[in-house]
Amino acid sequence: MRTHELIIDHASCWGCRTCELACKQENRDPVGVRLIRVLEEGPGWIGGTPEFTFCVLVCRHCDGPACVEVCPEDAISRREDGIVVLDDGACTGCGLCADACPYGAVASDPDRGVARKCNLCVHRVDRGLVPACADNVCPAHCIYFGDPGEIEREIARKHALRPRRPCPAGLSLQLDGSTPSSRASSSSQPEMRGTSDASGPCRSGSYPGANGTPRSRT
Amino acid sequence: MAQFKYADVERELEVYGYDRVVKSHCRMCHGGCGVLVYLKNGRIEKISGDPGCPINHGTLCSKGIGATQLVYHPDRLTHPVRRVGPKGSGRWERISWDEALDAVAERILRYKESYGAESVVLGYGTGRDNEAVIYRFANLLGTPNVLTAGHFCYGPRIATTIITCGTNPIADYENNPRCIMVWGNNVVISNPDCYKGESFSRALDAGARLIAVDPRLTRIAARADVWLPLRPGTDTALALAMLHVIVHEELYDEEFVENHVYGWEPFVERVKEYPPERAEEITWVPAEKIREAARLFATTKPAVIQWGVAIEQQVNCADNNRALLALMGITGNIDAKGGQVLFKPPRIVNVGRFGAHDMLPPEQAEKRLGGERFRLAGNFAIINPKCVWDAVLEEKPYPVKMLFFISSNPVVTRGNAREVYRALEAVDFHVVADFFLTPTAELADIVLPAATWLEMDYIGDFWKRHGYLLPRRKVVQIGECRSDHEMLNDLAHRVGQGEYWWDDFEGALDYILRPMGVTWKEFQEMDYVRGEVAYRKYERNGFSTPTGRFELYSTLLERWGYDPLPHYREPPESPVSTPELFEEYPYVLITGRRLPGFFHTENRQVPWLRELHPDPVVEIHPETAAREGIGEGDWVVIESPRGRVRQRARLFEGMDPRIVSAEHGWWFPENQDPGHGWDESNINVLTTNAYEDCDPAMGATHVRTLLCRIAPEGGKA
Repeated sequence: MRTHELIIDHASCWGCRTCELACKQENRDPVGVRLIRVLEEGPGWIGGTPEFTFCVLVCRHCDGPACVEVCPEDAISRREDGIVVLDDGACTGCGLCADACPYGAVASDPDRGVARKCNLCVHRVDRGLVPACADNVCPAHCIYFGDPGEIEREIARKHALRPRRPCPAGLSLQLDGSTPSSRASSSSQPEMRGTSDASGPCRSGSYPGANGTPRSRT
Repeated sequence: MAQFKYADVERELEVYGYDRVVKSHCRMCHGGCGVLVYLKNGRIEKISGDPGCPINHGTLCSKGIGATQLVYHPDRLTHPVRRVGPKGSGRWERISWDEALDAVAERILRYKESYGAESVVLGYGTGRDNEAVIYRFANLLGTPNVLTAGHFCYGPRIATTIITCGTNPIADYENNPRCIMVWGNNVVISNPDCYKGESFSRALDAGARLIAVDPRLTRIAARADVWLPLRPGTDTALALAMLHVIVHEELYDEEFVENHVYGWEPFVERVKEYPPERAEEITWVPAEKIREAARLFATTKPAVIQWGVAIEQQVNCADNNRALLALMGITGNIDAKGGQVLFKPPRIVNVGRFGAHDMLPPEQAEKRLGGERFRLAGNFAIINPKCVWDAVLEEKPYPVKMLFFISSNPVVTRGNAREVYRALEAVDFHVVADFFLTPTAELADIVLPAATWLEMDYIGDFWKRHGYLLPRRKVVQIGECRSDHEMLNDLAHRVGQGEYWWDDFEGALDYILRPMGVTWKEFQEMDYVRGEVAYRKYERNGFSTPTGRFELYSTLLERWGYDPLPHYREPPESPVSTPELFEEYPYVLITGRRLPGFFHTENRQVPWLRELHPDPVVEIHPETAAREGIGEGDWVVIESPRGRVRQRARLFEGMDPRIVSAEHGWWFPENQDPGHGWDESNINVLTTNAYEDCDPAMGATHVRTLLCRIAPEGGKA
């Protein structure tokens, strides 16, 4: 039962990347190892309308995590509360999880020879603290942590006030070959509850379909 | 199930075993947010926003969090040094503070004696909240020459707003404007001056309509109800056309116009010259779009304009600002709740008085470099940089013998970088106070180690116009670093200004706060103070201008020999003004888009921040890139009539294919050569600083738009 989740309102993200620094400050990963990344989608023109959005790429803590399935060392596990935790002490750095992740959300620390991913700051969450990226750092207030129902209502309330539709579907991801989209689109898409419409690192979060709320579930 | 609470300070202290948390006031930019600094064993472990701060409500930007790595950076200069080799040789010896300040004082006194105090020029950039002490030192010394970014950054806003309506009107985001017009500004990345992306975001979340004026499609532009992608440099024409629509369609605030503006009739005559159809030809923005934006802005109340530096770094600097002020004024949004408010500061010794401008003898003020030429700037103690380089290189109108740059890197930030470099090479004596040996510092005779905002006590941003003051509390001491304020307080005693300074700088803080009846020690215990908030104060007191009215027609500009009404000038280099040059340099180059993590030339050595953006990037439209044989990520040579630099291509569809957008502020601290690659990607190698290309009133260097050509490095494949 997921009582608390990380949900990102991509339509409100300005691309300021404060969340990336908050994560660095908390997890102290070396340069090049990024557990959360803000990616640009666009700019582009959709039916004559200019579009330019950001999407925050971070582990989705999938219901049926492909990374857990493929890890030969059982170094990744999904907890009762839905948080998918990678124990880098047990990791041998084989890289299978990074290949399996449809979002490209698993990083590799070449110096330590291990995989790294967002563990949703379990070391904080288990002590009653909010994950670093979601702890009221975001100037757009677009990263939420807590009860998913409440968060969805809050995001819907915000979007209802907007004169323009927040995030029209159809804008293609414009990412170069080194970024995760190509890996995601070339790998087989595992069935995942809540994220089965995934076709890129952020697509499901940003463009959920006609009646959904843009969000990134964990 | 645990109950989660955001920014839970007590729990944070408990879980991580921090020794203490200090409230302070960030100064990684020209902004200033309330922060919490967590320490363990005397070392900064974490920086977060202060949830109790009314400016940022606990949020922060990447720079603020990255400050820890700035403070403890291994390349920090932690003691004074004196150059022992030729300029630019990178050979230094360690000296004591006493030796350093005695040497600096001796030179100051020697030049003052031989060439007059005006031969000593002090300068600062935007970084360390030190303008008040630097002006105080200069004015008491008797030099009218303080070289700041003020000619083309914030200074023009101060100068043009004071002559128009008495002070700088600030967008009242706290009271939810219903319409926000963002004009050449990316507030959510830069968080500039009195504005924060956070309060802007909240106003949008509360349902404000949004208009974006920007040649580039920013995320703000993509979210806007109306986006006006204008031809770079044509802002005044666009604003005058919007004013035309508002006047012609009688959408203005009649009561305000009737009772509170000065010069309505000539103003109406002027805007008649700018019908939207004419503006369409100038700006590339369709006339109907101009009308749509003008109507939305004028009929949605309250409304604000989010403006900034981009429109000031142009030949139309002062008129851009004045045209936008007219938009704020005639729509009745000035000093309206949720509009553009003339906030009052708390009762303190203000930055002007502390700056001791009244102590500069009039005969010395008359010697201000460029004061005769750029008279709006001159009246606000601001000078144009080229005047200084000329005085160094040609000794005209008199010799400048000493430059003292405090938190400034003009080799990278000022127009025509090669001329700047020559002047710094040539000047007789050059002192720099900074965190690192920057390309500018590498040309100095003595470099002083400066303290960051985490290493000083100060009254946070007491020059600001939003009316808030926050204590900036010293958290750590690094090496022998000293704040610019303490350094100048000490130096002042060594050049005979002691009677106007203090035994230590805490005395100055007490002096600034005295009118409020509190000492620094008492203020340090407070979270913040704010001046009294009141609206429509002009109804009782009028405006603080010569006519007591909101001066659409500026009596001061008229007195100083300028057009009292805004008008449009074509940029010095453009497809229209220099069509022959345009054949050779067929793209409009814009410069200086704002990037997360960097503040002008700062932070490129901070690992967490450089990681966000490792290389200089030039944005090129995919059609243009294809024509020039440039691919995503290629190194590109960008060339203007003044020089060439390299940046990496990013294909960017969000602008007109005739525009190329390059970054500013680039040097490479990791480059061990003492020049640190200052001319490799520095866009100011390309910009012009010729007097005739500067704003005639403000002396703003026109660095934002010029002409260029581009090619893949190594030639087309």
